[in-house]
Amino acid sequence: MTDTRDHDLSPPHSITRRQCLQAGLTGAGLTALSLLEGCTAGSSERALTQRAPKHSPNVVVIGGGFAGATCARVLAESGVNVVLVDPSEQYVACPMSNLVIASLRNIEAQTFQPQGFPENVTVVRQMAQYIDAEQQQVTLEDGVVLNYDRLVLAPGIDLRWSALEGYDTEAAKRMPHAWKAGPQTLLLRDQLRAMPNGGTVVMSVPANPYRCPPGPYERASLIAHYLKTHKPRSKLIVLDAKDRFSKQSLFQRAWKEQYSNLIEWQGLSDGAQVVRIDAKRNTLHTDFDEFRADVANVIPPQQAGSIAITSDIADASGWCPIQPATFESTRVPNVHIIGDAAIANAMPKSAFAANAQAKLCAIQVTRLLSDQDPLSVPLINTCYSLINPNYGISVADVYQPTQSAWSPTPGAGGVSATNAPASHRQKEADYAHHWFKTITQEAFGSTPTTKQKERDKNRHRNRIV
Amino acid sequence: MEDAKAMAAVCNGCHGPLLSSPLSPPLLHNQPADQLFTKLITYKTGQLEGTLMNRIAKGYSKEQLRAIANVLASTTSPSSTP
Ligand SMILES: Cc1cc2nc3c(=O)[nH]c(=O)nc-3n(C[C@H](O)[C@H](O)[C@H](O)COP(=O)(O)OP(=O)(O)OC[C@H]3O[C@@H](n4cnc5c(N)ncnc54)[C@H](O)[C@@H]3O)c2cc1C
Ligand code: HEC
Repeated sequence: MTDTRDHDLSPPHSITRRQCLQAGLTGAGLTALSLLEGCTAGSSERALTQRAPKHSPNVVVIGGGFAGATCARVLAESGVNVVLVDPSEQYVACPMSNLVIASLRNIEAQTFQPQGFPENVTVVRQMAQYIDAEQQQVTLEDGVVLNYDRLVLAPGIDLRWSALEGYDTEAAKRMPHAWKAGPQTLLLRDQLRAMPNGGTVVMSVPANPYRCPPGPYERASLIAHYLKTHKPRSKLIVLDAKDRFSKQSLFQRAWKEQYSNLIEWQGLSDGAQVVRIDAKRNTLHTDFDEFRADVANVIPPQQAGSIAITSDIADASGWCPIQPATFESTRVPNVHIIGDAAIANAMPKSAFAANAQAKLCAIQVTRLLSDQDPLSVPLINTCYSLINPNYGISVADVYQPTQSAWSPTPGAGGVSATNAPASHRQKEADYAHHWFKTITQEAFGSTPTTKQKERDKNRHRNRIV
Repeated sequence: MEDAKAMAAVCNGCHGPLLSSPLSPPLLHNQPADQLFTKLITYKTGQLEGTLMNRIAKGYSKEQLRAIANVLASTTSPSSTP
C-alpha cells in the first residue's frame, strides 16, 4: 500500500470530519487510514507528528467485543496500525448477565465504555457493511471505504429470526431472548419480577452450535434461585432441542440438591424441541405439546454476525470456516475470523475463547505481515457457571490446532469434581467474578463503574472518529 | 520463546497481573520460574489438587510448562501480553 500522506494531506484542522471522510472515497492515492489519522478532531497536531513509519501495515478489525477489542490492542502493541470498527460507544457484556436476570446484579456492572486503546488504534464508530476480499476493502455504513492488508472479523452472533416459526423481533418484545445483553436482559428480569408467585416460566434452548453452551443452564439455575427466594410456588420448565449439554451431570445434581421441585428439564428424546412460538398467547409448541408461559425466555437459533453472511465469508452453516492455527478464512485470503462467528470446532463460543483466540490471532497476523511463519500453539477455554451466587462450577480444556480443527488434548480438561467440597464451589464462584473483571479490563480498558469524567478525558486521549 | 509467550498470554485471563485480591487465583508474576514450574508439575501429576489447574496443566508437556514458567517469571510490567 502506498503512503502519500506527506505531500497530499491538507492541514487537518482546516477540514471538517465529514469532508475528510468524503475525501476518503475520492482522494486518489490516499489510504483511508491516513485520512482518518489526519482528521481527528482535537488531536491533529499529535496525529501529524506521530506518524507511523512508511509502509507500516494496516489492519482493520470489525467488531469491538471480547474478540475484536482484545485483538486490536494486542496488534497495536506489536506496532501494527489498527482501525477498529464498531458502531457502539458502549458494550454490554453477556457473561454474568444471568445474575442481572435473577435480580442479583445491576446492568451497570455489565456496561463498559471501551477506552484507553494504544495510540495506533483508530476507533471508527460505524457499522461495517460489506467486505470485498478481492480488493481488500471494507465499506462502512456511511459509504467510506477502508483498505486493509489484513482484516480481523469479529462480529459475534446474529439471531436467526423466524428460523423458529413465529419468533421474530416483535415476538421478542413479549418473549425475550436476552441472548444479547442490554434491554432484553432487563425485560426478562422485569417480567420475572412482575410474575405472581405460582407462575410458570418456560425456557426454550436451541440445538448446537450457539453462543455459550452452558449459558442456558446457568440461566435456569439462577432463575430458579430467584423463584426459590421470592416466588417459591412457581416453576421453571426448560425445553431443550438436545439430549446432552455442557456440565450436565453437575447441573442436574445441583438442581436436585438446591432447587428440588422447581426446575423441570426435558430434552429432545422427550419430544421437547420447540418448533413454533405463538407470541400472542405466550405459548411454546413442540411436536407433541404446547406450553403456556407466564414468562417465556426463547433462546433462538443463531449465526455469525450478518456481515459475515452478506460478504460470503460464512458457509452454508451460517458460521465462518477457518484454518485453525491462524484463524484465516478458508474461503477468502487475508481475512481472519475470531470469536463467536468462527468455526473453532471443539472450542465453544465463549468470551474466554474469544479473548484467547484474539491474542493468538494478533500474534499470527503480525507474523504473517512480516513474512514470518505462523506459530502452532495450544489455547485454553474455561467456562464458569453459577448455580447460585456462592456455588460455581467450571468446564476447562486445552485445545491443539491440527490441520483441520481445534481439538481437545487427550487426558486434559473436563469439569469440576463431582464431589468437590462447598469451599471449592465458593472459590469457583469467586474465580468467575475475578475472571470477568480481568478480561473486561483487558478488552475494554475500563471497569464498569468508571466515572463520566474519566471517560471524557479518555475520549480525548484516543482518536475516535 | 515466541511459542512460550503466546502460550503464557492465555493464562492471564485468570492470573492477569492487573488485578488481584484474596478471592482471585494466585498471582504468578512475582514468583521465580523454578517455583512456578514445580507447582505446574505437581498439578499436572495430580500430587496437588486444585479447583481447576490440574485439568489445564495436563494439557501441556513438561517442556512447554518449563518454557511458560520462564516467560511468566520474566514478566515484570503489567500488560495483557507477557
Ligand atoms: C447469557 C450469556 C452468558 C454468557 N456467559 C459467559 C461466560 O460466563 N463465560 C464466557 O466465556 N462466555 C459467556 N457468554 C458468551 C460470550 O458473551 C460470547 O461468547 C462473547 O461475547 C463473544 O465475543 P465476540 O467478540 O465474538 O462477540 P461480541 O461480544 O458479540 O462482539 C461483537 C461486536 O461486533 C460488533 N459488530 C457486529 N457486526 C458489526 C459490523 N458489521 N460492523 C462493526 N461492528 C460490528 C457488535 O456491535 C459487537 O460489539 C455468555 C453469553 C450469554 C448470552
Ligand atoms: C480458568 C482460570 C485459570 C487459567 C486459564 C489458568 N489458571 Fe493457573 N490457576 C488457576 C487457579 C484457580 C489456581 C489455584 C489452584 C486451583 O484451584 O486449581 C491456579 C494455580 C496456578 C499455579 C500455582 C500458583 C501458586 O502459587 O500456587 C500456577 C503456577 C498456575 N496456575 C499456572 C498457570 C498457567 C501457566 C496457565 C496457562 C497455561 C494457567 N495457570 C491458566 C486458574 C487458572
